[in-house]
Amino acid sequence: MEKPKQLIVEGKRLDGRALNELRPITMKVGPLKRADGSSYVEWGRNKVMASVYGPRETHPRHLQESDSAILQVRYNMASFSVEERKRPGPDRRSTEISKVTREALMPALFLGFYPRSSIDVNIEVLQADAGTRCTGINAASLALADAGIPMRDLVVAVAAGKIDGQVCLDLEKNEDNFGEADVPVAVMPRRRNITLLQMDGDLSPEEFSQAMDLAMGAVDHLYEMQRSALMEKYRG
Amino acid sequence: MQEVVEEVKRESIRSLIADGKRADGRAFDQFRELTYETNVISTAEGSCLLHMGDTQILVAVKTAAGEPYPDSPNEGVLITSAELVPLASPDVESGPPLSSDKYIEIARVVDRSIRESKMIDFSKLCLEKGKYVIVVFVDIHTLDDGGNLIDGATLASVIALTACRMKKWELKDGKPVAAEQTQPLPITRVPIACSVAKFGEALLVDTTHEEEIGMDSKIVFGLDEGEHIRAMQKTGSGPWSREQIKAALELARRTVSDLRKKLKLEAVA
Repeated sequence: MEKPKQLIVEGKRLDGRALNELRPITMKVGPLKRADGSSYVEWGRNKVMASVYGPRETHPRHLQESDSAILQVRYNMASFSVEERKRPGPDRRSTEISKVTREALMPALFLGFYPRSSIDVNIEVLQADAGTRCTGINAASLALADAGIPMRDLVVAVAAGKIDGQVCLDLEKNEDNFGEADVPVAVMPRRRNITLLQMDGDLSPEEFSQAMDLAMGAVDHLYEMQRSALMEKYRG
Repeated sequence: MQEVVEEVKRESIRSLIADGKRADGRAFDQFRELTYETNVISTAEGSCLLHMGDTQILVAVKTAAGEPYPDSPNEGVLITSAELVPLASPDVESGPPLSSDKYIEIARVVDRSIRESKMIDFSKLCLEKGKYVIVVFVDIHTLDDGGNLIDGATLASVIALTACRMKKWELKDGKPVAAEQTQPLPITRVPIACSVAKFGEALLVDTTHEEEIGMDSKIVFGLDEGEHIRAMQKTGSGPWSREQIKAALELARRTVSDLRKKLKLEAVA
């Protein structure tokens, strides 16, 4: 796609959203039978599935820690999840996302309850449309809760960014490609603890502060969505 | 055994910082002594050996003719890699390069500051649209891991890029060849990264390797001359509050502005 002349027309974005509006989101808990916990999240055109196995024996063994469980996260994009087929398997981008996702989830878990064991989170992006790491973190949070892992809080993730010089919430693909900045954020909502923060692009300190306002403003809504997705399964 | 030693170190570092002190006597906002030499590797087109306290990082820049990315057919390509060679730290197991996610993250965050600040004018690195462009390789070699590798690697990379005299690539009979002459890279601005580490309520810049054992986590800020943010990365697991992020950004802006004055880094083009 060529760069559109404008990404914002009369206050609306190309997909009709307002600047502070999220894409349509659905969250499901427990779609997978073999996994200890699982979830499926659709976020705009993103489709992401997550599973949790564990606490279980640590592989490889030398990674195990004597006083706590370890958290292992594998973020993976399916080869067919993007326009041009992606070579299967991990690359540098997915390795980095796996690392920051692990660090975003860790503060929410009581890893000390399970010495020597491993909790393994798999995030599989089936269809991608910008914002897969945030979708993946929301999915992982649900799958961890579904697996019954003791948690301090759920973890909610959302991105803010800048398009056509304006700060806005939740960039979709064309906005990400042709916009000026993207700031993914993960938050433990109850104490407003920020567990993931990344950014690329160009933001003045004031614009960064506005972007954080927008992202933090969406946290309660996403938290409520995660809670009701969990209730849906467990209230029966 | 190592776990016990780490735990003891962690506690002693944290309690020292809680008392407002650092093991090497620096202030929380004080960088270690920085020195560097440029073009120390004659087989590279640009290079920088940076000393930052005990940390030693060597960055070398080389160019080659290659294909452009399909979505930017008339722009040169930047490829940043980081290798921790086993001589740099006892923690490194020898094996294939780029084995640990820490080093992939370093390369990607350094790359982000260079790319997002538009440090290099890639439109000037096109030989034939859609077919041949100049590929700029930035290879980061950590020789001694004394901590704060991302800031050091970013600094060494931008210095190596500004010092670079790259081969003059031309098309002869439709094929790219390197001429005898050299020329500077088209540099438009110089980003600098500053990582701010969090120890409870305390915020520190330029952490040593030992301090990094005890920190909660840190945030890297890649800043341009206008103090706009071009790259950010929280690394490590400890969570942050909004107020702390704001204070960290302020500290990073002050630190980077001091570094700029001290190092007199300017775009040459």
